[in-house]
Amino acid sequence: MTPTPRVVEAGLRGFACAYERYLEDPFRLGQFVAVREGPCVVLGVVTDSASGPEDPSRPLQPRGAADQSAADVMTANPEIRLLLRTRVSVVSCGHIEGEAARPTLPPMPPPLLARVEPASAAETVRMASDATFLALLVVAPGCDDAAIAASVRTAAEAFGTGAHEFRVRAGKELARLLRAEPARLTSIMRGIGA
Amino acid sequence: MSGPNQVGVVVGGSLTKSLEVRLDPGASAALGHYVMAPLDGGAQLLGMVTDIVLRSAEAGSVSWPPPAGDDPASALLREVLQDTGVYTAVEVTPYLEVDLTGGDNARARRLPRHFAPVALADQETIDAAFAVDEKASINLGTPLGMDRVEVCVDIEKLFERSAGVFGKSGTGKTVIAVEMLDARVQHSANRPTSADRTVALVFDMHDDYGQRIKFEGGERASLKGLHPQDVAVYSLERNAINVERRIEIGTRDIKPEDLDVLRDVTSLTAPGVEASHECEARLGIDWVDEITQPVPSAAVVRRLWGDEDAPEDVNWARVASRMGVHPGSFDNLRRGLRSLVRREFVRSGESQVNDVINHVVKTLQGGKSVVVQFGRHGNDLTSYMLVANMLSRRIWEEYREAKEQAQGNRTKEPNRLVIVIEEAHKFVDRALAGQSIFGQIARELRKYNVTLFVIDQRPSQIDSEVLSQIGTKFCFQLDSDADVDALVGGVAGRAALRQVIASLESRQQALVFGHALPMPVIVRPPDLPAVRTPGASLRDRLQQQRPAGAPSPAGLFG
Repeated sequence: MTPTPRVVEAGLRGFACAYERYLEDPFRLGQFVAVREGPCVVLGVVTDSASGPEDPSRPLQPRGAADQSAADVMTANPEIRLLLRTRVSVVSCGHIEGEAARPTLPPMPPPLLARVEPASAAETVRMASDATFLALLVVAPGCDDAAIAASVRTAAEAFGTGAHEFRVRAGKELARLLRAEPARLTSIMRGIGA
Repeated sequence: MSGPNQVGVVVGGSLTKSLEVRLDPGASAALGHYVMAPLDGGAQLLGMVTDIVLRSAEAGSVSWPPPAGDDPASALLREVLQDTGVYTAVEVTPYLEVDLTGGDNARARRLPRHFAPVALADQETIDAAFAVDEKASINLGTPLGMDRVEVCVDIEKLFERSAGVFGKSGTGKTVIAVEMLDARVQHSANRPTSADRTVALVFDMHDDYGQRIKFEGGERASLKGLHPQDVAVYSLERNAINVERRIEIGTRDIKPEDLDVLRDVTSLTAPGVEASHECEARLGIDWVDEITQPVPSAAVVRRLWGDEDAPEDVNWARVASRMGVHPGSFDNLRRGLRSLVRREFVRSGESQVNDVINHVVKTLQGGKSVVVQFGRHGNDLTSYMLVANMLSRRIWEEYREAKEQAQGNRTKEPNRLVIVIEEAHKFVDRALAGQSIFGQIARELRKYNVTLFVIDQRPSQIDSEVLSQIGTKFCFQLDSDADVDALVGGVAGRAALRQVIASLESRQQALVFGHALPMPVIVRPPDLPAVRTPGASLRDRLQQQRPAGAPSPAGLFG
């Protein structure tokens, strides 16, 4: 069973969640995630993911024989995984209240220790269809161009056969938002189209 | 207003220059398209697309354009930037405020608000703009790119003042002229009395207005072919068939003022023409026959020297000196006249033309249009100008006399006459406009019920005063800037019109503007179908409402 991360830091513009231990395949960059606890469903886009020791003063030492892979080392030393954590940063891109999906900041942060789950394809389509969610990502300090491009790629998958139309729609929204930053737009569009 | 016809929204502009309309994604509009935008109060502003511009929202998009190439990322970036970072806008020259509720239209004095929707004009708006729904009108054709819309012009207003068709050779001038005259003749035929009919006197240089018209699209029935009862054909050809009369000119008919207009096309000089006045005064009505002889006749000697002793060796140089004319000018006049009288339709001696003039005038005032065909003389500009000028001058004098005798009694006035001339600049060029009867007709407008319909390739050569009196202008493609400037000079929005004329294609596209139209229009004139119906381009409610088989008003009243 895939472990579920929980909110460990929360704000209106974003939150951080962490797994109980180290995980090799956490949420992916640009993935849409949802916190379904609290008065509304908060949706966000994964902008960063990092793994390391729980206690920064005790850095992880390299170990394992020359012919051992990372998985072999973890299997041989199961206690290590418990001393490590995987942490994911998320930028809020909207929320769902009842039937309404709004690509705006949630009225309040998601509850701490709330479970963070992958957004469903339907939730992703509802939130991303007009691409206005990108306005929150473009201005978020922790959201770089690669994360924005990844979010569009990820959302496009949810649109199935309408993926290209969505990419164009999202691109046009980015062109509008970044009209004074053509180099940045070009960089993001390369990330989307690649 | 947001529908299938919407093309964009107003984003800026000025009343005196143009409105800027940002096109909606995927929408297109071309030069010459009519567009409309709502004004406060319910009226529609009607304007014409006079320029198309590519704009960028910010300089960045064009300073750092997307890379060329077919890779998906570049292609996606180009697609994304369309209508976001870069977009297409059209400039619309505002012309009319159209009241679709039936009120009066007015020149554009207001602008729509920012972001007002702009749509391609529909037939209802075009009809309201041109205000022809209740009047007989001529279908000018379809505005470019608007194939379902017809532009019609009030036929009476079109011929109320002089009109002109201008364009390079092969652009379709003659075809549209035939269409206009066909509608004119048909409309006149529907009028109850001859006095109500406007008739045409066509000087048909290349035999296009008689039975058949030849053009690049083939051969079609022309005025006489379409209206055998309402058009009479006269010809200069000796063996012409199916014509009313042959036109001949007697040497006694040639007056010094008839020579003035020939200076440009013959070797006649101004002093030579001046000498003709002296010759006529001194030698009498046979002056042309006399001075075209190799040597002076006894009659000439008798007239000039009278009772005095004439020198023994009287020659033309002595005759010239006796008349006080420079011998060189006199020789020039003799040479010019000799070349004139060699023409087949010029006969020595008796006056010929008065009889023809009387016949033509009677025909015109009887309600029939007249086509004067030149046959093989059509390629001879001198013949064309001589005959057109002589006939027009005399017919105009008849009309002037009739009009003056009527003394304001409309029932006694002659019917209205439209004189159609080709190569008009030869008749009314800057040097000759003062002398030419056509310059006079143009300047006097419809004072004597006579107007002009000129067809020409070089409007810049026409006297500007005369050109300014041309009410409605049909402008086909013109290459020369001077010609374009001559036509649009003084017209509101001339810079935009100049661009429009420059964009006309070489065939069947015309910019029409002036007196009969509330705003300029670029049209593609209707094609001439293989089987033509008389007055096909005429939109006449009276005619349409008449049941099939019912006699026409003309048939009832003669």
